[in-house]
Amino acid sequence: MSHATDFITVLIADDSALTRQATSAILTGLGYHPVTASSGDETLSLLQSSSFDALLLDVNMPGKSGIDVLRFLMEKNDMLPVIMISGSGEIDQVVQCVKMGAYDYLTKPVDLNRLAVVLKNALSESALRQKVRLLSAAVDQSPVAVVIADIEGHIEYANPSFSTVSGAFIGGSVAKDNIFNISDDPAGISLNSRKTIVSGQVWQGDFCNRKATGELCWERAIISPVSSQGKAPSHILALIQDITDIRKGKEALRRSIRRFRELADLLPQPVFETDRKGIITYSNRAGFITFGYSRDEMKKGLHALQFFSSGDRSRVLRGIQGRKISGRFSSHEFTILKKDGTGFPALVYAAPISGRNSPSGFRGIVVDITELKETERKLIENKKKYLNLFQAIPDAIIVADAESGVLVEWNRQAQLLFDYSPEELSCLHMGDLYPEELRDEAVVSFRSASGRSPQTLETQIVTGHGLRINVHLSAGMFMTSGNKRFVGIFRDISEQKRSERLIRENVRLKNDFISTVSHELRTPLFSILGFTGTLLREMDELDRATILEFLSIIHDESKRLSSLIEDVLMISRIDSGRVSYKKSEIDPAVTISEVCRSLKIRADEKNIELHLKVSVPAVRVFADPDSLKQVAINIIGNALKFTPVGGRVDVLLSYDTDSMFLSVKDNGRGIPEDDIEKVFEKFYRVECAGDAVDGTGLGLSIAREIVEAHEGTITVQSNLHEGTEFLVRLPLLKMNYLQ
Amino acid sequence: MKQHTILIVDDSANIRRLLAHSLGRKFIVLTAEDAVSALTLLEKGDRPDLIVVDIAMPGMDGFSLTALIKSNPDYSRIPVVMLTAKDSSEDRQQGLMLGAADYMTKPFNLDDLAERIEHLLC
Repeated sequence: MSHATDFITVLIADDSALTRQATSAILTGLGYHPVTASSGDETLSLLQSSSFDALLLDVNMPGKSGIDVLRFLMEKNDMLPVIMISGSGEIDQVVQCVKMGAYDYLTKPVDLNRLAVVLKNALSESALRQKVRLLSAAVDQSPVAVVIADIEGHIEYANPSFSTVSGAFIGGSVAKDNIFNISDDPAGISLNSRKTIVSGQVWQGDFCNRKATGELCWERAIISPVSSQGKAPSHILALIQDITDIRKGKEALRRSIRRFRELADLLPQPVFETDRKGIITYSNRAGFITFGYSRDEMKKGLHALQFFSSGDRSRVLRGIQGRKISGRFSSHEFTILKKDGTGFPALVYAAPISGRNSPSGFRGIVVDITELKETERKLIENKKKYLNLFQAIPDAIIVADAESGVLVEWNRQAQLLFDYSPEELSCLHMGDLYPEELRDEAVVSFRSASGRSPQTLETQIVTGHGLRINVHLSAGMFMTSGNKRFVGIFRDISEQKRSERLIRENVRLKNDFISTVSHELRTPLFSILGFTGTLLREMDELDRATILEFLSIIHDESKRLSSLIEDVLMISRIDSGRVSYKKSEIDPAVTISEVCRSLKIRADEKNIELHLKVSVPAVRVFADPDSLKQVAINIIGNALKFTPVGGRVDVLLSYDTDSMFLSVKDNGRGIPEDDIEKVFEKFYRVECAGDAVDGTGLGLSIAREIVEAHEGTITVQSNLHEGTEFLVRLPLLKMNYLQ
Repeated sequence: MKQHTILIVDDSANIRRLLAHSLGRKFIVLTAEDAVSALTLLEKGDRPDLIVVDIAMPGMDGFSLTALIKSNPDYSRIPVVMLTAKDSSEDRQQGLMLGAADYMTKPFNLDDLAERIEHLLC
């Protein structure tokens, strides 16, 4: 054992104490470590318990002899070198021992020099034998077939693996004794390899072979020439290894790579790989088509960053750094640039390619989202359009959740109509929009509405400020993403209601007017008919005075009828706006004076003092002279009518900077306070207990209409039993006044 | 045959004159220009056999006067004929409900009125 050169243990087995001591001393002197045994039994016992590098064995010992010990060792096939020690008369036994396997012998007395030489040789041979034994064991046990042949190919040695690896060699059958003797070698491998070997070089090659079992296998052979002691090669060494599994693994890898490439080429989206620096190392077909680069351009080097718009690049870098740490898959939206400089929006899904310690690059896919973006844009546009429409509708629209009744959407008009802020509306229940007593009816109309048949009703809503508004409500239902919604369209009909009321009122007034007119017409007509009838029948019987009386009544009633008709027509013209005023610049003093002159006779009849006063200077008004005259006649005539005999009527025409004032004041019985507002109504006549007053009851009404058509006003003030004053105000024509 | 007395209540002097002349040929005619005058006349003790009342009168109208007459046991038996220029069935209804014996719409034939009055009086 080489590792113990400095501590080589040698067992000395001898029954002679003297020999043991002498030999021990010699061995110690030679640098060995001696151990002694005094009998065969002790020797065997020591050999079994300890290990020794060499044994010096006495041939003759009492009990078990040296031969017995040697036989034991040989039977055990022990490699321990044994050197026999014998006396001079024991040569036969020594020869027997050497035949049995002892290395050498020494004769007693043991010579120092000889012991040193024999022991050294024994030890080195033992070491060599062990090395050879290890080598051959290694070759025998190797899974690689090892073949040694002579230079002609005749096999001299083949280890056991040779038979398992290869029943055949290089395509055809190999003769058992020669590796180059191939019956079927279409590729000419054997010739080729032989040439290589003979020229002193190593031949190496893979080939397909068929095993004895019939299955195909791949083998790799390394054939090298062997030359001993620097001479020309005398032998060849062939190492043959079954590489079927490796080949299969490589084949599977190649197939998997091809599958990946083909799959990637099928994808319509660009797929890419980069190295650690970001240089594109792979692109699928779609990548080349999309971006417009050629394979050559890629091989020359394209950096991944140049595919991103400059604005996106820092984001890309950040993303890469982030992913280097996290290693997680992620996607981002970017503007991706083609070779021609045009860009498109895309999602880039990228993940690091896992290397041994850090990513060896990145792998990713680019998804063009142009269409998606366009759809999204259209969607947003549509939504905006819908919202604008929703907001522009002049009716109030409220959408509520059908389950909870909570308001979820409303337009601007709804906010205005209901007078709530958006925050307030979002907290309201649909029932909160109606007065308590109408709530159930409204909610029921929603519940009974369906998508196709909305319910309509007229109801009232109550605003945030508690105001009630008449509305026309269309209640409908629709579904949106699985939720049932109620939609209410509210139209404010308070204006419509008001105008309906107004129309009804107007119709009533008109009917009243017609009814009153017919009544007013019938009374004089009845008189006329009655008296004319009487005259016709009784002409002969009646005296002249009665006839005259009747005729004058007929005449008066006819005149009354005529003026009544005139007034009714006037009112009718005014009401229907068919009156045309022929306005011109006139001096009101002239008109009023004229009227007063013409009414003087009537005043005189009742002995009424009619007094006109006109304050200077003269002015101009822009008015229809006939209409103004009519106003004056109606008002002054009215005053004369209601002023008792012997009374007084004062007419005063005055001015200020803007207006002309016509005041007509009487000292008649006055108008009761309750009736003062009614004097301008059609057919109103102050009830009088005393004398009957004739007249149409339309005069003041007509006067007011005319004054108002001239942008003036007419007012009345009265104290019962003291008198009444009518005041007409008309705007002045300013320019003329200044002149 | 005893001559009957008719009271005419109308605010229009011309109508009063016409009716007085027309009815005066058969009846004794009294006239009043309004409800108050008519009631004063009745209170003074005049007992006409029939009263002709115009509905549209200033102050107390014909309906009120009729109602008063019909509610006073002293005069409630006197038949009342109402005159009106209004052609309204509501007015007619109201007049008859108040106890008016008849109702005439102006203009009417004077002989018709006389006939109806005669009919009511016999």
